[in-house]
Amino acid sequence: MKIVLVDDDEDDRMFFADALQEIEISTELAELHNGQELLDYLSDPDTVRPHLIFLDLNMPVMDGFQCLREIRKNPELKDLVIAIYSTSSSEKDIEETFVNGANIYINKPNKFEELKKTIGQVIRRNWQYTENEMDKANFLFRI
Amino acid sequence: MGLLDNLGKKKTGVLPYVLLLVLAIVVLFFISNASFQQNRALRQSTELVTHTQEIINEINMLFGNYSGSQSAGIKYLVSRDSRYLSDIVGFNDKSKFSFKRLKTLTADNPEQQKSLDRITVLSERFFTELKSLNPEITEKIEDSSALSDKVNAIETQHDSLETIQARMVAAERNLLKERRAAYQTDMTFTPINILYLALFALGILMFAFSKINSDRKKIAVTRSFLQNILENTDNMVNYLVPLRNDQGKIIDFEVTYVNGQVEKLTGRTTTNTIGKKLSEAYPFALGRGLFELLVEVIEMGKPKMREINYDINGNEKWFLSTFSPMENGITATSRDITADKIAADSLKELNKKLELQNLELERTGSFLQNLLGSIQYVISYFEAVRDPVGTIVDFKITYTNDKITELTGHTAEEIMGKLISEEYPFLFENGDFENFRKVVATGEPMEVEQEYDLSKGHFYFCNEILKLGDGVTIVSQDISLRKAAEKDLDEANERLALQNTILNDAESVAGLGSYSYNIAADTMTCSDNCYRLLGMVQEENELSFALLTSMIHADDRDLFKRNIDLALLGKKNVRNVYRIKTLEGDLKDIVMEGHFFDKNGESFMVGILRDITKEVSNERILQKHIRELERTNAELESFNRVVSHDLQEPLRKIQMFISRFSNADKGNLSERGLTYLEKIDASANRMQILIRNLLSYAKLTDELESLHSIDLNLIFDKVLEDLSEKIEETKAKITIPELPAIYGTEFQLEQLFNNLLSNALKYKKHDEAPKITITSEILKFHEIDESLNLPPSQYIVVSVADEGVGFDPDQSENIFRLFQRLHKKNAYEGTGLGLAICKKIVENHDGHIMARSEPGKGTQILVYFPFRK
Repeated sequence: MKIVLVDDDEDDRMFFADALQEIEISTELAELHNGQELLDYLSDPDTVRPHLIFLDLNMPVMDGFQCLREIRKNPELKDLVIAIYSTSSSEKDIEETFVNGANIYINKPNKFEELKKTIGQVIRRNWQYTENEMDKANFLFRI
Repeated sequence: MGLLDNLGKKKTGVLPYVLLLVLAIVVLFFISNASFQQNRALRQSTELVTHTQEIINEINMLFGNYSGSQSAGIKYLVSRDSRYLSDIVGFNDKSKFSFKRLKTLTADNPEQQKSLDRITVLSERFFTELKSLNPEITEKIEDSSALSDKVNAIETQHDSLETIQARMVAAERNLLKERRAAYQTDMTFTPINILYLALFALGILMFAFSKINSDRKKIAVTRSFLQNILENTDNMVNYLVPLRNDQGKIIDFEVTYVNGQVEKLTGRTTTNTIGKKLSEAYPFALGRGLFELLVEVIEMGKPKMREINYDINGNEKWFLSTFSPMENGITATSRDITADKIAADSLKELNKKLELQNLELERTGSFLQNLLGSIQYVISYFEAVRDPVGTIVDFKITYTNDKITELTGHTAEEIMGKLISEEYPFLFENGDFENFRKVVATGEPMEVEQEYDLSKGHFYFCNEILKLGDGVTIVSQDISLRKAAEKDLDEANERLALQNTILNDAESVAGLGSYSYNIAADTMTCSDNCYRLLGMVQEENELSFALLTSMIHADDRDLFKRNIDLALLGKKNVRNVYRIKTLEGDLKDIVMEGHFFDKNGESFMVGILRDITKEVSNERILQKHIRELERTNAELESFNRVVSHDLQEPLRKIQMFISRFSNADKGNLSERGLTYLEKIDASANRMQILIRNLLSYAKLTDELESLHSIDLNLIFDKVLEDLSEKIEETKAKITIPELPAIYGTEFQLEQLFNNLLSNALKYKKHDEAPKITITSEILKFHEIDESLNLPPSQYIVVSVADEGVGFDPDQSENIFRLFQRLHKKNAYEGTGLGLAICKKIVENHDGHIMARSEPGKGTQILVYFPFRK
């Protein structure tokens, strides 16, 4: 399973990679630092299309909101399943990410065990993005 | 009279004559037909007789041939001369010819034909016998007996033929006899019949002629009689025959008869009219609808009568015409009714004029009556009554209008005819009588105001006395009301002066000044306080519009002018604030209000000036405060953001790293190190709770949802559920009665009571299970402690009371402050935010929260919510 994590915080990337390794699912993780990097990565023809993208909101160069909008604008990329991965617990931010096409919202946890549990939960679900069958109960998912 | 009888009978008398004539013609026709028939019969009889004789001749001819043949045969036999043989052949040929002719002639007689058929057979045999006579055969006949036999045979044959001949001739003779008889009869009867019939016809014709002749004479007499009438009548008579075009449509009429009256009345001579077309004969009749009328008469076959006016040689003439349809035309009889018409018209005219005059008179009369009846004046005419010397001693009331009834109660009819000494004796005392006399004497009109005590009340009158004939007309105007009004006016003026004083005082107190501006005249009047407001002394300066404009602050002046122009143009009410520099040099903020109204054709702008300098300055200060507050709020918001995100971020990492310590890592730590790690973890967790509470406190401000009715029972159900673990753990006893519904937001009320119950559970006595009592009541405003300073309303008060540790009543205010903790940090866990949040929630609900407590006895928290239905 191909997973991409976009986060400017080195510690958070480390926690995430550690947590991913401890989950009993074989995954391949690509780590990127901001939205622009993600867009460049996805437009590279050699890139294998990821199954799941974890996207931080507060990042330099291009933040998560902007990046999300760009991806959904692009007909090639709009089917990608995107989980927002952020410290913000503001209702306003959460609402806005869903409006812009996020599928999952994850509040960065305080405990490593919790992080493992959350990531495992998300990965185990077979996410698939289909715009026409936007079933919020199944699809928009908040942890 | 007989003549007239004939005239009347004329129509019915024609029919018998016509019948007679028809009969005569029929008879004559019959006669000619009969004679023709008779002649034909006669000719036929003659022909038949001739025919019969011809047949007889032919029969004789035929049988003559047979006889000839017989004798020739016998002769041959006797003489043996062969010449006779050839004779036989000759007779045979002739007989054949004769036979054929006879066959033809008797074609119409079957009997004779039968005889002829017989002849054919017999003659065959006869001639066969004869033809057998030739020399060879004859040679053989030697003896006489044979010869006589031969002769006998021929004779026998011939005899048979002769028998037939006799029969045929007899038959023909009989026929001839019959036909001759018929011929004789025809010859005798035909002429006699014709003669009789001819005589009969002649008789009828003579009768008819004599009748017709006598009628002709009678008609001639009638005609001359009618002619006489027609010529001597006053009526114009025309006979008109329609002229039709190819389609049978009438295009004109031909005048075939006119009487002498036509020339007299129309000036058209007989030569101009008779035989002429209607349009030529009477050109003046064109376009009067006459032609159409005539066509209608012809087509409908009904007479019409019509009055028509014609312009004949410049004179208008009226004719009453009768148009009667006749067999092939119209008799038009016209009577000249011009004179009647003129007479009738002038009569009508006269009548109309009279009617109009009558109407006018009536109108004038009723108008005067109405006028006198409806006007508010008493009008009377008093006729002078003089003594023998000629001195006026009295007046007679000859006229007074109905208005008098309202004054004296007497009707005008009752009063009229009486003397003033009877009806109004008081006139002799108040000087009126003398005035009347004076007016009659001098002829000078007089106007007098007089007071009267009449049966209907006390009246003031203004009398105008005029001389008319030998008397006076008095027009009396009731001025009682005016007198009363004058009195009222005086009183009103006094009141107004008083009110003005009051108004002035009021204006002064309210800082108001009023003005009235006459727009057209450009004059301004102002109240005293208005002058005071503008820093002017009324006696020194007079306020004008121009002066007021000049006093407006230079920056506002253009706006002022523009506003006033717009207001004057549209007559719209205005209200604006201007800065005004008073004559004393103060700068004031003045509200200027203006309304428009029209009075007596002039437009006014009236309004007030109000000094709002103080308000404006207060407003400015307020605005400044609001701006400061907004800035503070913005700062607070960014602070919230810092707290929520930037403070949480490193804390989260600290917690994350702590959680990364694996059991193996922990095993490597010393006992102390492990304790430190645990303390770091506890501190970090505490800090997380603190931040979260602080955040929810801050959020309360901006998360003001709309209020709606919320059932407190449901709120408590939820809170108890949330706290169930703690309640079980502490074995708390909680009493909750039936609670009312209040207006609020569900989420906040939940948090409020959650916090309060949590506190009650938390601050329990160390060795006792907590006992918590919830109560609620509705308080009227006057039942509430005044020192709370609540806005007037009814309030629902919910109380949460525990029997826990309590606190020092001096602290009852402080406990609601942020981070205020009364107990030592370790004794009770908490952040010092719970009650601060409660206070904020209650304030969000326009309510009030307060605490009562006694150390060791317990705490009661009271929450006041405004009661709304």
